[in-house]
Amino acid sequence: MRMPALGSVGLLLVALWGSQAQAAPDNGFGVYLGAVSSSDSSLYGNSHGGLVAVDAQFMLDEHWSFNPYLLLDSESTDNSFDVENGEGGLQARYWMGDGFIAPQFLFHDTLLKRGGTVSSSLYGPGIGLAAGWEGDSHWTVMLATNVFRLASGYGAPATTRSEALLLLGYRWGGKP
Amino acid sequence: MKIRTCLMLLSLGLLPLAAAADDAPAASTASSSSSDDPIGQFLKGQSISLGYSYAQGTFKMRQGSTQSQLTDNGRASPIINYTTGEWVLDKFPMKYGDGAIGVNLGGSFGEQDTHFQLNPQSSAIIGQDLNSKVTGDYLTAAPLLYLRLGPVYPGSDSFWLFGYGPGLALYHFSGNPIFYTPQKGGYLATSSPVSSSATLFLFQTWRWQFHYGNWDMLFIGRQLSGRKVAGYNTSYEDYSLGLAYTLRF
Repeated sequence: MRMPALGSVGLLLVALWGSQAQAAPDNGFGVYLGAVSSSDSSLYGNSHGGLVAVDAQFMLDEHWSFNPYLLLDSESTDNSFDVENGEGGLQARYWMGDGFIAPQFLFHDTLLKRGGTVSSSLYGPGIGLAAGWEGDSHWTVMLATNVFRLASGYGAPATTRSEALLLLGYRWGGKP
Repeated sequence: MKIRTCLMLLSLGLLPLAAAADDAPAASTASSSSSDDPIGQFLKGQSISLGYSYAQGTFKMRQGSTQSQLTDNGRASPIINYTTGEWVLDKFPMKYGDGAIGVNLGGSFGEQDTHFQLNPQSSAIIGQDLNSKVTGDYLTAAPLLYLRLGPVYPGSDSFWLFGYGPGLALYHFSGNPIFYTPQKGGYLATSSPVSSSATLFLFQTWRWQFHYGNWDMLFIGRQLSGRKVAGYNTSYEDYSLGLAYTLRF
């Protein structure tokens, strides 16, 4: 998963360098599908899976937007666990033409499942960084990376999860 | 770690594009930056939200390594929320309307019916029917500090809000939970009755809300904690996702 992710970053970088400033980004709703790869320091090792996400975009001016979002993913791991993860967060996007970079803050609830039974529900805050591109056609591609602690309410020791996400989406936006 | 480093490099690589954007023709901002705040006008009044949610509540008691947790395994739950008008602490202009950091006061009523026991052999979130239960109800009041953005489309009654509120709850409960204490090679399970008359608990709430028209999609987290009952640190958490119709007056 690492190499495809790096390759995707490279492709996005090329696309962003080649992009010209077109119509300004505008308010609207976005829907995304994508892939996630994560690693955990002690619980399950590495994981990969698919995701679905939605967001709303609020432009502050021609450069900045706030994008609250919700994300759900399902992952299989190197271990006997499966992972179901939900996130709700807020991106602050800085737009440069059709491209953007965005620090983000989120809350997550991560369920570890073994044999179909949820063995742990781990939740808390996290931070991340995203970069992406959105064309005049309203199609968008985004890469994001997040990091958060998997702290349990059961007093189990906390671990750290880092994740990389590739999202492809479409935005319904502009003036109705 | 490599991916994070790569994204940092990507961020640096994006910086030159800022210059390109600056050279671009002015974006379609003809209708931009109005000092009007129609959403703020809309939120000046009081409101009552009525609706339904899917919610899960979990009751917890803990003393040292001995603990008990019961849940309702999820249920349909009514939404009955009262909210005062908002006090705006700060505003900032957006392309359409204004964003705001605001405060309102909210009150709510909730019922607890946790009769599925979470135990060391069960799922962490789906409990088992072991003839143990704790029931109760609570009244809450809390100021909510929030960030509000909107409208999504100019002229529409739509906004997004995320807020946190610390407050107080009047909470009473009773039941017979099963307590688990780690022993060598297993757990000792003991059942004992517990009860608490109406007592003030610390209350915390988190709200993620999207409003469109008169409808609100709400994700609400609520936690009652900060008290010991019979020597046990006692708390109740409830998380819900629901849809409500909001009446303003």
